[in-house]
Amino acid sequence: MRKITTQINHKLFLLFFIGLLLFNYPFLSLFSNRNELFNIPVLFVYLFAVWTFLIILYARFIEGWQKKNTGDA
Amino acid sequence: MFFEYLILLIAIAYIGVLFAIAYYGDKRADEGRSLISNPYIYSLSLAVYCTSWTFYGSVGRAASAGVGFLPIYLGPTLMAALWGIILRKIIRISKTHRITSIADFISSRYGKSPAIGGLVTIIAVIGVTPYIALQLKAVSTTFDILIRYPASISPAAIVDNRLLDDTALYVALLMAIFAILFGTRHLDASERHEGLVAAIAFESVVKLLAFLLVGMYITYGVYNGFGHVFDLAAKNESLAKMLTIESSGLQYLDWAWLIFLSMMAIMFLPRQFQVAVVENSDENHIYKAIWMLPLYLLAINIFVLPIAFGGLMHFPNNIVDADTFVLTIPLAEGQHSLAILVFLGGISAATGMVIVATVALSTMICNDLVMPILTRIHLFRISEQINPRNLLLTIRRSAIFIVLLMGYLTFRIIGESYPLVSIGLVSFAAVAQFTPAIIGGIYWKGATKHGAFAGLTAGFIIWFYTLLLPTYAHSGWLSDSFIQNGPFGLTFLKPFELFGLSGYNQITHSMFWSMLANLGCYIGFSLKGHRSGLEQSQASLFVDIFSRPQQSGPEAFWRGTATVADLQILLARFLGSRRADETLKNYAQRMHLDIEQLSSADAGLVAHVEKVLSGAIGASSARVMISSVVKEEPLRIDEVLDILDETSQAIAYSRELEQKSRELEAATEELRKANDRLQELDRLKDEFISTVTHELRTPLTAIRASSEILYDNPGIDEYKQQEFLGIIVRESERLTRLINQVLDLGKIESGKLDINLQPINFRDVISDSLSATRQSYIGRSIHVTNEIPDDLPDVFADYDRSIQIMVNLISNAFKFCDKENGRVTIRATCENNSKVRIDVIDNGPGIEPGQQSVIFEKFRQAGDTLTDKPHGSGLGLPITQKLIEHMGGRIWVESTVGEGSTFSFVLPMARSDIQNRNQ
Repeated sequence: MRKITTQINHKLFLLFFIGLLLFNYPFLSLFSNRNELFNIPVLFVYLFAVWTFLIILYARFIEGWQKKNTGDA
Repeated sequence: MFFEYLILLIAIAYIGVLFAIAYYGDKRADEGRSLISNPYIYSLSLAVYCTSWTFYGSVGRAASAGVGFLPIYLGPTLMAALWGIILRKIIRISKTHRITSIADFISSRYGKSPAIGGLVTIIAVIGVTPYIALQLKAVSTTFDILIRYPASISPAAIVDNRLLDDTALYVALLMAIFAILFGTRHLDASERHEGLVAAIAFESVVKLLAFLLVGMYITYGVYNGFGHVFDLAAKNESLAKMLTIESSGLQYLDWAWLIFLSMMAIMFLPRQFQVAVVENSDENHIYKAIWMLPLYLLAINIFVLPIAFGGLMHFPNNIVDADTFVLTIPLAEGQHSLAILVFLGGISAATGMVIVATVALSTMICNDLVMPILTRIHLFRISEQINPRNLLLTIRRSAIFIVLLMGYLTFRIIGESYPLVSIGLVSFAAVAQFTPAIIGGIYWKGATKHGAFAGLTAGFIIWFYTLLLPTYAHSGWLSDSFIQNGPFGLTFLKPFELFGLSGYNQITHSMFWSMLANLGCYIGFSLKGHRSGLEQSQASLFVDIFSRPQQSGPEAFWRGTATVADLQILLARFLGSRRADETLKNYAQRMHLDIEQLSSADAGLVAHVEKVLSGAIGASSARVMISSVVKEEPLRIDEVLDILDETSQAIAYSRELEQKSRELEAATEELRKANDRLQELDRLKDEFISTVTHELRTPLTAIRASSEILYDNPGIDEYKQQEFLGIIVRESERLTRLINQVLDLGKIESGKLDINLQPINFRDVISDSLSATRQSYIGRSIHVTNEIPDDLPDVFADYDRSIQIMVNLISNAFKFCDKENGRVTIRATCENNSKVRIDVIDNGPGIEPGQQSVIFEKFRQAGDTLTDKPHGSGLGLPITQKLIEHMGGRIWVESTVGEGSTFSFVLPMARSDIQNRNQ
């Protein structure tokens, strides 16, 4: 159990790091312009897309891990 | 007027529903069927992070800074990923040590220091007060807007200075009552409020639904979807410029600081600590919250920009405060019921924050500020006269009132001149000061009380000077020149440009200086200072929480005595006698003790009671109360000796280990030697085999040559025939002897030799041997002398092997003695009354000193083997030596060249003879 906890924590730490990079300079500056995607400002799309992407990965990692855990038990 | 009463009625009815939920939650908790013990409620309760700031303020922020409202929610999204590491650890520590607030946590880590607990409480109260003020502002403003629309929409029209007419005051009082009813209903050791959490979770649902509804209405009802709103905004130059970071008035550095601030806020705001740590019922719930809370934040933010841009286009020229767009747009469109729903969502957001924050702050004020002072100053009065439970509850209830009153006053002073978000950020910056002390505290054992105190103080002072004070100055309570020119005209002390650092926004500027000072002092003082024993033990209990078995306390580090009755009375004072009995009973059950028979409490029980008490009155106060009934004893001399004994045992153990390792080394050395010896033996064996085959070939060649001559010459004369046949017979005998000897040697060396040791008379051995060898000296002039005493004692030896020995030595003597005038002497003597010595003396050529040790080796004979004809197999003496050694004796030779040799050996005397002789 302890070991598995460490594993999921390491995965999440990696996501934290990726999120920290994507939500900051210089990645942010690549989208900080007045272009639009589907009529929506690209910066708005970028921020919410990365945000959604992170949440989906959090959820997939955690739910997969918890299912495996309860399956084992 | 009717509308006003309707709204009031709806608001009160809604709060009534909250009461009902909270009441039901508490009831379920009392029945042991927790309503909130699941990860979904836990995640929703964490959404207490979203306050009026989010509900109204985000739109206001977005209306002036575009995406600048977002970092406050991106930070928690990132931080959530680390909860499995950091939050889980904090929860585990808090559960183990019954920690009930962030002040308790920090003070407990640094040696249960009351000074640190008090400092943290003061920072938290001063820091969070503006945040409470902003909730009051939001509720009262929106209420006024709702009832006076459209007269009240402009910011200037809201101002209302008559105290009794002020909505905010009533809002504050109502919230205080709610907080008191559900936050301080009873005194609990774990400080958990299940009903409160249930109500908070419900409020989270309401505010999210309300915001999503109004967002959808504005985006899809008033406008035609996201694309439409942004399309219109892009055509409006003043809005379009807000679509990038650069033009939003933020720099990337500010953006990064805001993410950091919100990362800390989601963990260390007193209310977040309350719901995430104190109210947590199962540490595994955090994993679901890791993705559910970010999802909630995303959902509640998705419509913020469309609402902001929609509002700016709907009400051009700033006639409406952007903070109120969610309410004013539906009102302008005539959607009154939607507006009321939004208002309820706003109330949810505000009350959730205020109630949890005041409950958390009141616990801190009571446990970490008031109690430590009271227990010290009026120790006796508290512990003996007043009922402390009522006292505690009174303190907490007063604290809730005072905090809300402070919030109200702050609102009156600064509320009108600041947008919601700016006020909130000031609070975030204050609680961010806890970061080094907490994160350092759970990962760095070297952090000390002095470091934490210095860091917190330095960070707090700079925060106060660069953020809070200017806020009051802006509101006209301080001279504005203080901001423009610095205090007393000292420009390098200008609060927004400290030491000349300019060009940054106020938050970034303040965070940079305060975190630098905070972290610098924290690390610097920690490295410099020394720590007390309690500090050290708390540090290792906190940092190593996961490597300790649960429920292990600091018993080992502390000793003292108390009676169980005293502890029971103490517990009953604070928890009531029923809970006190339960606590003791549970402990006794867990430790398999009989509480009835226990009169004096052991260290474990004392520590347990202290822990339970910590839950009710805080760690440092519990410490004081416990020490008032527990006699902490200095260690007695025999205990010191015990400890010394343990130490010396440890030392002995390590010595033993050293010894073992030395023995191992020795064994290795022996093995190495044995291996060398084996290799040597292997080499000798090869040599032996080649020598033996060589020796066997010599007689064989002679036999074969003689036989061939006889075979090839049938007519050879009889005399010659006889001569050759004689050679064949002699060489055959020699061959037989050689083979026997090799077999003997093989037997001896492999240890298979049968030796039958028994007392034997050596005179018989000698005479038998002489008769056996008589043949070899017949016809030679050899004079044999026998010098054997009549009373020669028996020897403990094998008879046949003894004959073999003697025959060998005697035939050698015959072989080598003088050819013309041979003399051989056999002498037997008794040595040391325990051995019999036999000498065989000849008058042969003697053996050179260099050869004397060689002759006992296999196939080595004295003299030059290349030129001299060999006189034997070269196995006689080695066999003799081996046999003697097998029977416990020893053989050696003494010789002078030209005068002859003496072969001597000793054999042990038979036991009976030794005894006879000794008598």
